[in-house]
Amino acid sequence: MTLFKFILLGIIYYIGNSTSFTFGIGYFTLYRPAFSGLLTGLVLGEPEVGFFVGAVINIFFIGFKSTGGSLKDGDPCLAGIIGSMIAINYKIPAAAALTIAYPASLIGIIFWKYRLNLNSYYVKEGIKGLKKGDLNSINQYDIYYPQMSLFIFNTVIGGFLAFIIYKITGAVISSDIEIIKYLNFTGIILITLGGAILSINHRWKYTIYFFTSFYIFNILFKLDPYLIPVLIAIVSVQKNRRIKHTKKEFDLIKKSDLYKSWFIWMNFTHSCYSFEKLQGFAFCHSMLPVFKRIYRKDKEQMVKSLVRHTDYFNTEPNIGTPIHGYIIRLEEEKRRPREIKEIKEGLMGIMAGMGDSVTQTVLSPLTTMAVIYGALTGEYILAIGGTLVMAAAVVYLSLKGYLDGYYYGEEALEERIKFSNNSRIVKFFPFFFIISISTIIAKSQVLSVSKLGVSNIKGAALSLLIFYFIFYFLLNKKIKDEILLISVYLIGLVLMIFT
Amino acid sequence: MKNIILARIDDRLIHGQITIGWLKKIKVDSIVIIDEEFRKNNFLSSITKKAAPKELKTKIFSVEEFIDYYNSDVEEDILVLVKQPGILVKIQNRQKIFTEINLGNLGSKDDSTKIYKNINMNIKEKDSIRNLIKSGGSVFIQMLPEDSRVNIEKIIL
Repeated sequence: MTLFKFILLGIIYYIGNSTSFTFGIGYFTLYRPAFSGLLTGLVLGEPEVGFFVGAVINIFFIGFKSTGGSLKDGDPCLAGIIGSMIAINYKIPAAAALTIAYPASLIGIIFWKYRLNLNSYYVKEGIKGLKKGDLNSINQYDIYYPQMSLFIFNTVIGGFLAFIIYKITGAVISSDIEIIKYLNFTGIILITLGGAILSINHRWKYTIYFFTSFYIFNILFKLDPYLIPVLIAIVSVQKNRRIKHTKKEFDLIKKSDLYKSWFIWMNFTHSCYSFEKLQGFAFCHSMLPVFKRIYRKDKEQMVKSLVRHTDYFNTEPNIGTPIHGYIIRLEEEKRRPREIKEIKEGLMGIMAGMGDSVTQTVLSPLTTMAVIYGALTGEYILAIGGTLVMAAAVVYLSLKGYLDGYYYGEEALEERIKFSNNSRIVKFFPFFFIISISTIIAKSQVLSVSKLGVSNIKGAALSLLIFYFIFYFLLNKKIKDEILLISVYLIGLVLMIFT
Repeated sequence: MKNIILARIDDRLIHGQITIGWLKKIKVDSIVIIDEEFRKNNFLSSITKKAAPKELKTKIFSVEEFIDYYNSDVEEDILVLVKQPGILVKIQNRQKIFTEINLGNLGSKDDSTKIYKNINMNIKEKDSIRNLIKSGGSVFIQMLPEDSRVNIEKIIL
């Protein structure tokens, strides 16, 4: 590994973590281990291995969600980079790479807090500049400074971290080649634990039965990899009712302003995400083209209105966009600032709660599982399909929300709620989630167990169900995830020392 | 009587941390929002009810209505949400209902300072928190069920 390659890995860490400049798609793709693993593989000349290892690590992060500045499970992007790097360099199995990559990714939580605190400073400065009438200060402090800092920080720290773990892993493995086997075994148990945690978190009456039967079926027989995705696609398709209300005509605002505002919002929602304001500064930024139009000749009003919109704001960035369209409409109608503020603040939570339970809870896990399954089976069309569906959903929902919010106002918001409440895929989600996760875990376990050197691979993979039941039982008894995680590592360590 | 499973101060009321965080870990029959402005705004209250998780009832009350509801006979496990600590103080002054209060998110305002990660308060809000503690409620910061509880007394007193 050359210094240049470590720097490139650092840049991947920046790309995944930034999620800016990607129309909101980056958070659901580049930030995930399957994708950061693939990019790492490309840098290191083995994209297929990188993708595969990233996908196995991604199983552990399928349930990953972030709500309003919370990050608990470790940094998925970092896990993918580290795992893929050591797997490619030392030719170790994917599950063994997970064992090392998961704890390393927890360091990402510290960087996340640091970033949100640093951004607090930028937001403050940005608003100060704006209040003085400097419109450039929005661009500078919402994009330029936070992204430059993040770029430098992540490239240096990410590259350095990769270097340290590269060295440690090298030293550990060269001391005793047998260690890889224990790392692999620990990783296999971690994946089973991951399956149990996902089962508990998506609890449904039949979870354990469907998980078990699909797991057994997948190990004993060959399932067509396209069967489940096609079934999901058939179930999800439904006709959208059209809004019948009267459409607002453009008055001062032009359609291009809505597009510009949408463009800024989608690319920079989290560019300067801070604890104090969350997406507040990004909301102000997205209103820049709007107020430039409405108050073309009155700069004082323009600045005043922009400052009003720097208030604390947070919502689900894709489903929540009717808020933006509606607020733009109200601003165009010159409604009272107090009224606008009340509506904006009232709506952000509602749309976040509902939106998160659609995009982060349903859409993203399903499409990510398609990507993972594609990587595990080599059916790359499946992986590309999953990515495209997610990307299309993000772009379509956000843009439609923006336009409808402006055209139909309150009705657009009600319509969006109806859309989420009536969407068939949300209704059938627990079933599809459990059979998909069970299929993926079975597939990955067979592949991982085969690296352990046991003679009866199918038998060994089936026996892992015992661990699943134990974990499920303990989690059901309210034993914390963290305790089980630490136990798995300890058992791995004890086995390694005493056998 | 009502059994308060969680009482939370959060200026975004029902949002992602509630729907995909707390409600996955706690079991309640109803979500109760106590907010005068919200109750008066027909659009916001109707849309809140429609967007809330379907298996739960969502109720939006004024302070007086909440106290009446709390003392009514029907047994229910409830999640109470308010935007401002002051609302809970008003209730505690009438009847000591809350023993444990969760502080979720308070975004920054012009006159507020940062207390803890997602929590910003002005002087009035700090006073309200002190009054809540005096009224016998313990106030703790906890964004999500997985997070550990942080006692606010150590931070603001």
